Formats: sequence, C-alpha cells, structure tokens
Amino acid sequence: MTSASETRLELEDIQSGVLRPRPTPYVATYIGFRIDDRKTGRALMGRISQAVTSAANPTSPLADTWVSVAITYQGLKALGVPQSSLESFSWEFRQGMAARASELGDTGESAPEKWEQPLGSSDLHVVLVAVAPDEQRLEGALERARATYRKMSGIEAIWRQNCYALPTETEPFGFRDGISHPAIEGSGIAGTNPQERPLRAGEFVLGYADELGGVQKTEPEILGRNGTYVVFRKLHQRVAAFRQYLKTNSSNVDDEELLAAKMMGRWRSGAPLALCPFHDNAELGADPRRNNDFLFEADDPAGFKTPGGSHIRRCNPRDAAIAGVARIHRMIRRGTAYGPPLPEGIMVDDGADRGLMFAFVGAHIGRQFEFVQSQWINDGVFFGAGTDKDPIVGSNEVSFTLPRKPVRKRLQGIPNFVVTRGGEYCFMPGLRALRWLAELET
Amino acid sequence: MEIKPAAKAIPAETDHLPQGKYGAIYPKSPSCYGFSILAKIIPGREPVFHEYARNIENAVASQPDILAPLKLHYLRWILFPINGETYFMYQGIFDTDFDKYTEDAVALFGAAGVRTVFENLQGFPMDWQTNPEAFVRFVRDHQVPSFLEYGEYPYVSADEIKKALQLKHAFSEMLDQLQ
Repeated sequence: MTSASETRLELEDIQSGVLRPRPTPYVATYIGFRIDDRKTGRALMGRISQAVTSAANPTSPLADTWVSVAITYQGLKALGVPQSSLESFSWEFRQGMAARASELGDTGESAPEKWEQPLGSSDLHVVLVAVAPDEQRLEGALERARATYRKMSGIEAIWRQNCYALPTETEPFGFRDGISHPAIEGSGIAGTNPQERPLRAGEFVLGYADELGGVQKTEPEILGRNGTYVVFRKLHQRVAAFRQYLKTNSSNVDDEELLAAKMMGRWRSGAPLALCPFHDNAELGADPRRNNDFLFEADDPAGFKTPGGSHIRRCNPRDAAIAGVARIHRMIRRGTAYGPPLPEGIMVDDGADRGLMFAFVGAHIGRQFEFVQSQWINDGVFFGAGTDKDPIVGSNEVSFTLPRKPVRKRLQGIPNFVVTRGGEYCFMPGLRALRWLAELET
Repeated sequence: MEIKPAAKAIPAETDHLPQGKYGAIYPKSPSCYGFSILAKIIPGREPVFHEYARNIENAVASQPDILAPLKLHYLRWILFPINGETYFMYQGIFDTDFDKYTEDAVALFGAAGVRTVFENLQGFPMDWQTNPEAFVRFVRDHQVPSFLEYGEYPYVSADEIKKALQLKHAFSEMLDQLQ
C-alpha cells in the first residue's frame, strides 16, 4: 500500500476538469456527440487530447478556461474498445444511468422514459464541457473545441446545454452553492473544511490507492490511469413551488427563511446553521475560510441546529453517528445553473425550464454517487430516521423531521421540488488514455 | 398503534428481483435485511474461532459502540460438523442492505484493527482489506438466502427499538419522581 506521503498525482496527465474548482463567476457549455464511425471517433479523441488542458500549472493565466471530455460506456463501445477492456470498467458505469433509475429514485416524473432526448439513450457517446469565466472566453474555448470536430463526418453533435454560475454563486432556489470541496492528497488543491483530513487520491482518480487501500485499474492500465468517473444530471428545479411551500408552512418571512435554512442546513447566504443556528450571517456565509469549518457530532448530535435530515447533513454527515463510514462516500460535486432565474418574489411558475446541471466526480460511482443518492438522500435509516428523505432533492414521498425543543416538527407530503430531466455516467480519461483511444486499431 | 406481525415467503427464483452488481437484490423483509453465510473452515482452525469470540466479546465490552455503524440487530456465529468436516454459519440481521454497506464494514474493521474470522474459511480472499469486491463475491458465493422470514414487530429498526426502550425508561423515571 502506498503511504499518504508518497502519493504524487500525475497532474500533467489528469484533465483539468477533474480536480480544479471552477472559477467564480463562470459560464459553461455541455455538448453531446454521437459517433457513427469509429475511425472518425478515434480521430476526434486525438484532436481533443490536444485541446484538453491538464490539471498541472493551475496558476497559468489561462487556467480558468478549459475544455474537458468524457465518454459514456456506449461511447467506448462505439470507439471499438476491446471487450476485455470494456469489462474492466466499473459495473455501474457499464449499466449507464438510465438502467440505474430505480436505485437513484428516478421514477415517476423523473423516470428515464420522460427524460430529455438523447439523455439516457444509447446515442450519447461523448460529452464535451467548456468552462470559462465569461462568455467571451467561453467562446474561445468552444472554438478550440469546435476545431476538433468541425468538418468531421461520422460524428454528430446531438445535444447542447448552456449553464452558468452567478457572481453570487447561488443556485436557482437562492442558496449559495459550491461551498464544500474535499481535499485530495497529492493534488495541491486545498479542501474547504479544515477539519477534514485530505482523502486518498484513489477516491477520485483511478490508478492510486483509495481509502480502503485498493487501487482501481483497467485493462490495459493506461486506459484508466489518471482518469475518473463523471456523472452529470440535468435537474429541473420548481422554484415557485419551493417558495410557495415555504410561505404556506411558515407564519412570517423570518419563519420562512428559518424553514428554508433547516431544510438546507445553511442559510441562503451560505452561512451554516452549525455556526449560526438562529440568525443568518451573510459575512460568514461569504467567507470561504469559515463557512465550511464545522463538524456535527460533539456540538449537535441530535440535530437541533442542523437537522440530520437537512440537505447538507445528508450529503456529507461529516463526523455524525451514522450507519457506515462517511469518509468512503465523499465526492467532488459541482452544480451549475441553467435557464433564467425566477425573479425575486414571484410565486407562480412561469413555465421556464430552469435548474442545475449537477456533476459528480469520483472513482467509485457505486459507493460514492449511487450510495449517497439511495442511502443518504432517499432514505433515513442511516441516521435513525426511518423513511424520511432529503426535503429539497428527495424523490417521491418525502417527509422531514425538524428536531426542536420542546417538541419536534414533522413535515409530511413535501412536494418534489427537483425533477430529473436526464443524465449519464461517463468516464473522463487521462490525456495519455485519450491518445491511446486515438491509436486504437481494432 | 397496532404492531402487526408479518411473514414473507421468499421465492427460490430470483429473476424477478432487481439485479445489482453482485446479483439479485433481496428486498427488506419483516425481519429487516439479513444474510446467512455457510462455508467450510480451514481444517484445524476451530480454536481460532473461539479465540476470535473472546476478542469480539472484549472489544465490544471496552468499546460498546464499536459495531454501531453497522446498524445491527443480531449476529450469530455457529460451528457445526457435516461428515467429519467443520462448517461455519454466520447470520446477521441488519437495518441496512449488506450489498451497499460491505465496504463500510471493511473500513470499520480495518480502522478498529479487527481481523475477520472469515480469514479462516476455505477460499476467503486474504486481500479483503484492500479488495472489498472480492470480499462481497466470497460472501455472495456462500450466501444461502432465506425462503421464509418472520417479524413479530416487522420492519422496525434497531434505532427505533432503542428509542422506544429509552422512552419507556424515561417515563418510568418520571413516574418514580412523581411518587
């Protein structure tokens, strides 16, 4: 087993989008492709390997603008990757997101048959993501990306999604987002919670020791090394319904904000209830040195400050007493808004499609993304709350308990504020692996 | 509140069940999640099992919450002979689905320095601490599913039972104080 001090990530071979936190503000575009001709697909991999930036040199002036590329399992097949190599990828990745719908709670109105096409279909093979601090630089990044596939027959762009992160870093419900980010050994990128030990590199990048001491490898090793799994989901948010729910279940405006904070675990400013349980503190919410510096167990085991069922405590229970070991279910999570924001004070749905492009980055789709989705978000047994679910993103029958003195408050029949519009499991290869794919001769 | 006992017959065929990474996913039964493993032990290792029993007894006595993150109801370890060979049976009743929490168990045992007695079973992967998939595969290969499960208080979690007992104790204490 490699000791922690020996871990050195090969940053020059890892795509920038894997490890590097995104700039603030930023704009991004997802473009999905279908490969109809494997030789052209391989040529695309070769060209993209020149356009994709690595995680090395994070202080470069161009470091905030980058293009990433990820490939679905169907995409690897379309490129002609040999069967023995395909089978060396994780089981969940090979199934694809649509096949895992019941595990993820994507049923009813979130079921794959209702997803936006071609999400969840066997047509989506390659996903390009361009990220930049503004539209002008995004256009530059997109132009570099377009140069890789322009005039190539046998490849078709079949899906596009524009998204953005506001200077306020708020997501469509109005909460500051993107606060929590784990530290990763050997990455040189600090985490946001000084009380969390850096996680082993193998939790996020294939080819390195993970928290259990295991090393994930593919066949051949070069194909997986320095790559990672990426899950992206398009999540529609019912902002007006959320506002209406808060108003209906509160006695005044302050009560509404407190209820919103209890459901999230943070005030809309980003200030955590763990550090300011009674009133918002905008200065604390905006301070990246303090707004994620807390634990739960010693100070708040019963959840009187931050309910066990709140969104942030479910997604990262930190040191709280729960089933299992929270550390092995950590993930890099990125959310980027899409669609027009619903203006302040509007309580009626305007029919616009708005929400979040959610992205997961991690080496273990099963024990990280799927586990969190099925055990922590859509169940409550892990902290002794039976069938309670996440009050903000939980699916189907949602109930939520607010621990309070002298008597708790129970909210039942909470509407679904988030509907899955689609998504896919992808693999984001290292730069050498992209060249390996380009040179395939099967 | 009516506590209505329930029984569930579990069919031998598993094709209709959702399929997971390691095979069929068995549903939660009136007696919660559980699994039974039957395997041959490595000949002559019986004393190791008894030593392990004493170690676990001591570990739980000194740190009563050592197994709490597994959300257990009961564990039973049994040694029994068939045709002169010693077999081992491990039966656990959990509130969580074993398939999903195996890696957590591996991490917990590793962090607590607990070796697993499974190392004394024939065919057990000795690299289990760094290879949870091999651990799960061994378990699945030796798992014998129930064909019937019964719950006198069905689907109730250990957390709920503990809370109910604490509540009863608190009421009892309150009544004592009112004398």
